[in-house]
Amino acid sequence: MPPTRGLQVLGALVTSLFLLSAFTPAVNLLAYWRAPGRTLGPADAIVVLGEGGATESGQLSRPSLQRLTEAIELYRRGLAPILAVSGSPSGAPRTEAAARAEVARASGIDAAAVLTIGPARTTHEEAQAARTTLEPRGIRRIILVTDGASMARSAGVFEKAGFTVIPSYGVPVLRWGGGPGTRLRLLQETVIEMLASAYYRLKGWS
Amino acid sequence: MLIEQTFLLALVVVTAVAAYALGVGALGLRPGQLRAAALFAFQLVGMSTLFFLANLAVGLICVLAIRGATGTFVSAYLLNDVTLCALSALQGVCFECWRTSGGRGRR
Repeated sequence: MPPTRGLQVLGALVTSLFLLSAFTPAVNLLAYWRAPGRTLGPADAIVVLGEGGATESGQLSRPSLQRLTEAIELYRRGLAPILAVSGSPSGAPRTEAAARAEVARASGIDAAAVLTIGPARTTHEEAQAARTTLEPRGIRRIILVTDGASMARSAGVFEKAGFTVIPSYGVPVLRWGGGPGTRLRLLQETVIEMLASAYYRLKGWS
Repeated sequence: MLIEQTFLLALVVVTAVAAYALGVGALGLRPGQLRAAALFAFQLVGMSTLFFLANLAVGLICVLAIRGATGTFVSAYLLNDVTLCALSALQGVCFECWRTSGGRGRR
């Protein structure tokens, strides 16, 4: 195939994929198909993975705070007696995990019920740090809080580290909605996660 | 919401039809050349895709090499930036226009 013809075919394929992803629910189906599921029920701990770190002033990023809020709601529903917060290291005076722990305690959760994990830079490191912190306490069954796209990889890594993982959303729900921009962002997240999952499998981490 | 799903598509169809009418009516463009123009557009998209994949591959190799060689942690999420798409498109368009400009063999 001459280079020009090959480029035309590639361009047509990419354009078709773009239109298919933006204007049909194909990406929603892909995300639903990838999402692990387990009925949401009692666990030994709720583990919140890091997201975005803390700012230079030590404030939590919006996604980090959203995950924490979801975890606090699960805790208040009585699904687990321990809330373990993780986070990435930073040059800030307090780490993401420390900032989250403060917010959790300030929201009325018993200080003894809040544990910090890490700091850890990757999901693999988070799983190792979680094992170090939680295993001595006999914690095996956890509710994992992370974003939907990374749940498959994260659950795999934590299962490999010896935990039984319940995704924070329980059983996935197929959502058809979202505009083209939302679907393209979902495609971006899903493709990144598929590549990351392949890398993690290659490294033997999940 | 159906309108949320189809509004942008409908918008683009309307401006495309307007551009076709303008091209044929006011600018005197030949409708038969539209197919060739579309194929060239695919060609540009194809070349931009190649640059995007190359940028991703080189970027990932650099991230892993820095991690391995220096022990410094560099996040692969650095590559997760829409700027890379835009720059790759610019590279692809520029390179393909150069490649097809008939300048081969001359310095």
